[in-house]
Amino acid sequence: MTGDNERDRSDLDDFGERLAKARGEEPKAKTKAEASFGASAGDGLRIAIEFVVSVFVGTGLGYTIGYFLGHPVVGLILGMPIGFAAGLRTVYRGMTANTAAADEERDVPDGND
Amino acid sequence: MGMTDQVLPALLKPMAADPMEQFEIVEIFPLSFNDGVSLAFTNSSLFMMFIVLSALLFFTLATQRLQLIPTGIQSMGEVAYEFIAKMVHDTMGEEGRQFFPFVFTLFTFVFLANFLGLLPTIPGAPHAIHSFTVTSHIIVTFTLAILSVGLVVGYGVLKHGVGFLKLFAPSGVPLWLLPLITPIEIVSFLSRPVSLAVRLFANMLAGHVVLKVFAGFVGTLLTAGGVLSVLSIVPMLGIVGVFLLEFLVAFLQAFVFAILTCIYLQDALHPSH
Repeated sequence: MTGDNERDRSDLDDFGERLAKARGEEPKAKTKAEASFGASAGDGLRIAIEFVVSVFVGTGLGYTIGYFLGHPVVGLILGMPIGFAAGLRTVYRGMTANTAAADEERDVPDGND
Repeated sequence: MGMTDQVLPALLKPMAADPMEQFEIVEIFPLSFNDGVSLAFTNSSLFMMFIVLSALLFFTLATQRLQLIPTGIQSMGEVAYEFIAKMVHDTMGEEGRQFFPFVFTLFTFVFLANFLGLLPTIPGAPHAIHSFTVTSHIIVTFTLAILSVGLVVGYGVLKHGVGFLKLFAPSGVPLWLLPLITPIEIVSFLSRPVSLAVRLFANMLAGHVVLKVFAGFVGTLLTAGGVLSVLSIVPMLGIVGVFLLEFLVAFLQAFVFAILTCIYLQDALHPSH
């Protein structure tokens, strides 16, 4: 039985190798430039929504905390810039993640130009 | 006008001119307690069941009579599996394998909800079985988002205990900046489920409204008569274009939902960075 299993295993490995090889030779369906426009637009929209939502959440949270402390307006005034900052942080994080991935592809070393 | 009314079949008349009508919730089996809290089985519930049964049927068929060299539906199932398995592995590494069932289920549900919501309604069908996109309701997407973020918090606290709070104090930040950075990080964290929910809901809602508005143009132009009737081909072509785009959006939004869940789960695995 174990012999059969081993043979199956090696058959499977062999098949896996051939499959990987065949896949590697497949022509790429799309060039990167073609694919990147849709991806960039999607990323842009995603980050835009995250920014707006951050401002709203910050403002709402500030107002709510302020409401329970008896000064809703103070909470609102403090919460809005915090939401704005959180939004900027999300945008920054999103953009640096993207550029880091792109740099990695192009073999650009870390750091400034 | 009178003539065209008679000539046109009832199907082509601009009947449901309200583009928001398709999102109405209809109670099929009313059920409520305390005179207010409704637990009715609605058309939304019906479509959710339809989605789950479709997924079940698809994967049952895909995993029946498995062959080493897959054919037809088995290979579709394998593509779906490998797609998510690769996404989970790329974002979370080997540790993330435990979250695969969750991410896979989430992706399948959202994708099928978006996709089956694009099915056209059978003309004349009762309102309760109109084609319905469950993800066009923010309460559904918000529940899914809370599920994802809840898992992040639950797993993070279980695994790291108080150490999970490092998420709100990024490493390398000077001590005097922490009182400023921590509230910002907390707001940033709290906005995740909201943005996750709003993104999916807004995309599905907007797409379906656009489709219905264009369809409304076709009906209105057809009944206007003369040259305008001929022009109705333009919004008709527009519908075809938007519909194709909606196919892409249906997949893309499910993909974004799943990959963001993976990225957030990565935070639960490694909160300090």
